[in-house]
Amino acid sequence: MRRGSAGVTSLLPVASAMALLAFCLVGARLYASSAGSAAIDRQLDETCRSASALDLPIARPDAAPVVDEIAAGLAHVSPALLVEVGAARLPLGDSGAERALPILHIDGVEQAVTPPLEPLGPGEIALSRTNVVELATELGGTITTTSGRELRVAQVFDDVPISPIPDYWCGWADLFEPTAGGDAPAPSAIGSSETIASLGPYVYREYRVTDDRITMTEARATLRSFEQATAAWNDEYGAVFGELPPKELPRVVARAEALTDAVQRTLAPVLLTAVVAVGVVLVAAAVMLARARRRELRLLAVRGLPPWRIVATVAPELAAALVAGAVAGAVLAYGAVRTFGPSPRIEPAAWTRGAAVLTVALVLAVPLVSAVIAVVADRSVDHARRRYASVLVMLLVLVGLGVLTVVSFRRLDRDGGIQTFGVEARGGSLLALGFPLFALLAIVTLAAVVVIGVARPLRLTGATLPRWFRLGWRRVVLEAPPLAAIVAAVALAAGCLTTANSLAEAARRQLVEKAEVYVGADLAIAVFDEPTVAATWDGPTSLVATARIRDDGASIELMGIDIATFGEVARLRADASDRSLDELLDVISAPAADGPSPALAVGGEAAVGDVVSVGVPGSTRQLELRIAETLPFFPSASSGAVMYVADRRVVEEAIRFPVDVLFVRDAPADAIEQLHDDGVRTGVVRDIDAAFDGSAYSALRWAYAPLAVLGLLFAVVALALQLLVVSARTTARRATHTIMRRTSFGTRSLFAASAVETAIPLALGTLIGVAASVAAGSLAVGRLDPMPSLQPPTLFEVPWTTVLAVAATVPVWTAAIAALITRTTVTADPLEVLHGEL
Amino acid sequence: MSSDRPLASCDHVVRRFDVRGDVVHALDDVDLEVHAHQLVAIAGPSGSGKSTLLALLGCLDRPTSGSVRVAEHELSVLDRRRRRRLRRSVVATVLPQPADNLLLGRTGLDNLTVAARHRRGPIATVPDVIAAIGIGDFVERPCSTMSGGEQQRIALGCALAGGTPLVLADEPTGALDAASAAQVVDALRRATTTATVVVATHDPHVIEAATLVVHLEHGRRVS
Repeated sequence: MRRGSAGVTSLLPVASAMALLAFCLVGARLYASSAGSAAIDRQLDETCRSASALDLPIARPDAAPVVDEIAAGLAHVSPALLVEVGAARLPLGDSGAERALPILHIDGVEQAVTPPLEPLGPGEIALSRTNVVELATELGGTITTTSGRELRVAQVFDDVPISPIPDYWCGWADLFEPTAGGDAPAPSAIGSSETIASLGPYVYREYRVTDDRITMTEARATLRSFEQATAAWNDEYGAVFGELPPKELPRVVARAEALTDAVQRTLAPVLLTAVVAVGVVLVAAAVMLARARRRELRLLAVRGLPPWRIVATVAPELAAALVAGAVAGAVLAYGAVRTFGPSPRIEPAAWTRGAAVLTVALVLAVPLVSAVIAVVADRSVDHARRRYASVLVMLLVLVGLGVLTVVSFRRLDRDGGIQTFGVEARGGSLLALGFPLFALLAIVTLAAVVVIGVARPLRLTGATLPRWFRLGWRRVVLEAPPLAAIVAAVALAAGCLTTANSLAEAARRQLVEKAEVYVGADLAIAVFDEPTVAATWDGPTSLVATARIRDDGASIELMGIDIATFGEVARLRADASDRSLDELLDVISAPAADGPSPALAVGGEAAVGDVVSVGVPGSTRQLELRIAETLPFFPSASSGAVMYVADRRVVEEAIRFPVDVLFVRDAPADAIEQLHDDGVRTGVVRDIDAAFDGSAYSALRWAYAPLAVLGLLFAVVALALQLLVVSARTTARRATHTIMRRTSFGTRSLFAASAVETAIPLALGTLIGVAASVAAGSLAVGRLDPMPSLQPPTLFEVPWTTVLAVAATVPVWTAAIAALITRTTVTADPLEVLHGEL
Repeated sequence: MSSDRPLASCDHVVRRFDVRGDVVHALDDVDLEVHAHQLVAIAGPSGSGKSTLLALLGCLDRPTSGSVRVAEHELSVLDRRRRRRLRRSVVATVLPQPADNLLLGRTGLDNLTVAARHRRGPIATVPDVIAAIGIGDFVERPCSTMSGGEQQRIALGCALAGGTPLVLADEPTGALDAASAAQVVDALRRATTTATVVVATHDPHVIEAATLVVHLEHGRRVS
């Protein structure tokens, strides 16, 4: 075979195609690993570190070495914290009753409070400022236990913050947070080890999962080591002291695994489609290589060398190019996942799996590409052909894809996609999640078959067109297979990009819209006092009176809104009602002086014009409301419950103690703190940004990102195919132009003809791809709702930005390819062209 | 193979092509017998079917109907693999462009040796081929430095290397000047000492040198 720079250049398409394949195969595994790392990060972040830690009690004074030995096998844990807890008994007034004063010491506790504590001596304790008051003592004062022992208050520290509670203290939140009834927590103290030792302490070592970020594999290893250590401790001491209670880590790991599984399930059809696409690119690249070396290959084929001999001639440098491409693709995938993936941490096991798959791909790619080259070489000299085989294969593929699409749609319709349950993500079978891609493939394949069918009769058209247009048009319909291939590749590129953005945007939008309905505004704060400070905030606010009423066993929500301000704060999606939010507010803005007041009914069976009676809590009165409009959802209405919305005055008149909720739009970051500083007591807070920010929803965001990459991949396929066709027609085009340029068909006309030749398949492919994507998306988006029971239902919207962006590439692409065609045609030496040397 | 039997023959051969919906009769009821050590010239205007007939004899195509036999093998029933086998052992084709027949980066001798090896023929016959067609003066030069005529004569040598009994040449002088063409015609004549040569040509010098001339017009044999 020929060597040198030309030889290396001819290998570039094959190496690039292999790089794409490696990018997909390795990237998918690295991305899944990255998602796993991010999932375990988020799960650990959302869980109190003390709750997910392993506690190994030192059951007897001599048990410390045994515990150390058991703990020696723990993986990925921070240094153990020694926790000592004792309880001093204090007299409760003069009644003779007692109460416990927990005194604790944890490694590092001196630095975990403000100001940091000096070492405490025997009999010394440190109290928070609140507890000093609670225990009616002072710094330097003493507390006497029921046994007569005196504990000196040696140091005082600031109250531990509770919103949020520091990570160090999250396992001891009940010592600092108010009780459910709003009372201060029972007093507690920090003491020295010696002080606690005298109180009959409970001592254990707490092994927290390491502060360093860990991967899914490391989390599983940690969990296994916790289970082994638990079993070992139970064997040693369980019979006497009782078995260790379960902790949070198994649930943390299980939730992270469910999240990773959801991402992998979504990735599977994407990867499958990508591999098919890149397979097409690889074959196209092999054909390009065969064309680049057609002189040598034709010589070998004319001499009757069998394909394996031709393959043997090409294989060594081909293998080197494929290996180089594979390495480059893998490195590129690593860089992309590290930079753009959910987490930069990738497990070594993912690399191993990626390398194994890549090796298999290489082992298959070398013979595949070699075989394509050998077949192309053989067919280029042997003209006896079998007909109809390719048509039959295409029809079989079409039928197969059609069946796959129908089956996957039925599965999606029945089971839905990935669904969230609390903090977990579940569901999402490969078949169901693959529907948009399978539908796209089926529609595009059908379009390709139609294009092949109509190309031949179209060859007879265009006689009356201008000369440049006629030439371009004739070249478009000249050969049906390349035309269909380019149209299909462009359609898949446009379709994948549109589908990816459509699904990703729908996932983002549905979380926002559901959060808007769930919260009702940007921020909803239950307040127990008049929030005067809110009047000074930049954004609008509105105070809403709410009440939950049990009526015949059913839960009914009553919402009294301030007509003047509610419309500025709340949002209502247009499909909730034929009327706008302002019009709805107008409807209920005039409470009736006598008789039922107008109200909106959200959910339930009441119809417009009905009068409903709601029992008023604490009285025998009935609140009567006339339903002026019914809606499926409304700001802050709970899904599945019935809510009546009326003027605030109506609710306040009927309900003695409604719960006020302050709805805020564009709330300041420290809104809650400002309210507290203003002396306003707050209850439940709903924040639109945090409402559905749990890790369970991450799967949705992470899963659709690679789909956009697939669209770009198909764009590469389309470009490769178009360049292949351009390259294949170069000789004929040069010969034609050499003759036509003598008949006043200049460079400009050639450019225009080339633009027609390029633009028609591109525009047709884009149109088919976008239309197929919109059709598939409109069927899929609603069914992929991760929270189908939560209002509002997910709506499909055409991603116009993406569609316009895709459409905008058509003229740019056309101009670039037309310029390339023109340049390669006009720069050829006419003499060499006419001699058949170019 | 007995000497009275033709090395290659065509009997009522028809070859039709479907070109973008139109049926083109490239060959229509053509008969031909080629015997050992003949120099056969297939002459005719462009589009008369010369190259198609050569492709059939070169086992690069199959007839639509009729019979094509090469070395006693009926081509119409041979699959792709068997046609390939015949191309390797019995038939050698010289393409019209000299450069298409050679590995240009290598010397003429290398090309001859590689060609003999490709045909699994004895390398020892290469010097005989060099002597037979008179290419000894330039055979050791890289092919890329040779003239078109020299390249085409090396190509003819490659076709003969390995002991191929039937050599087919498609317009071997078409891309050459008169002097180079004369050298190639001489080489073709010399080649018949070891093989049978069938040439598709317009060149009157080749036609003049031929022992059998077959004229085709519109796919039919007219003489």
